[in-house]
Amino acid sequence: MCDLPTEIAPSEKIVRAVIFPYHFDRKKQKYTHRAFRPAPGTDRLSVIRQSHMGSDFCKAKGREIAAGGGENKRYTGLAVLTAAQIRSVGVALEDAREDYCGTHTSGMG
Amino acid sequence: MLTRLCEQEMTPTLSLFYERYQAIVQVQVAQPGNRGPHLAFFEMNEARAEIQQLATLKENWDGYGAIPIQKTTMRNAVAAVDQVLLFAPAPADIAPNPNGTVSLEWQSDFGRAQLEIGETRCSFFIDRRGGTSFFWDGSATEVASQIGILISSSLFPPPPAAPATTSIGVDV
Repeated sequence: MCDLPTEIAPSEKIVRAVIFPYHFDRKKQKYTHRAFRPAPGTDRLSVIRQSHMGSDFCKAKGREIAAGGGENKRYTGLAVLTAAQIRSVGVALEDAREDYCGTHTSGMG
Repeated sequence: MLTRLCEQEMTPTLSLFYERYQAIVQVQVAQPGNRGPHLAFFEMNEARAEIQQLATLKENWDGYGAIPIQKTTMRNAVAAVDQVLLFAPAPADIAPNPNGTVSLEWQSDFGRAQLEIGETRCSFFIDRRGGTSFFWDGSATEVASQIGILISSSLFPPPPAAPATTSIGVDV
């Protein structure tokens, strides 16, 4: 049962787990636009509602994502945007609680 | 393969793109290997090795369901590097994308450029700071050295030559 509101306030923090080394610019040592590339076959990106789920949950989810696939990669942090920032570039936020409570997907609106 | 690509004519699409670009931006055609043949050779080798390393990534390499870089994509990317780095400096970043493509990225104070190569298609853009931006896409086997010229002349132009002045002092 997920009791989070489906409505997302403009000020809500939405996060994306950043994975080293693939989301990183090696020279600048900061994450790049590739952290926001969707999985193949979709224009949707998996993100988490940090304002509701809290940082600990988001970090644990990031580690879980990094552990998948068995490659040499690690969770390295959270890229944080507000819902308003995401919507300002024409991207919609959609509820995806069928995946797990607190996750949303953002895709082209 | 490398020789064939060097000798082949530009495709009409890339040719048109190049002509349009030349009309707007003053393209200064550098000579191949103007950075020195040894430097270009090492940069190419390093880039090739990085691309070949990317082709070893397995399914879900990013944790979000990314697909592996196929051998065809790797070969296309290596062939593109062989062409583009004849004129352009080594990319600032060579990276895989979740959809199985490889991106080569350049950045300078003058803007940025990205070449993304897949199994059959590729795309390229230059985003010049305060200037015109261009986008081109075409076959992944069409990548020609002209793209290296565009990158080099747009993002890494040679510094302006020092004024040739001579001061003469006369004691009277």
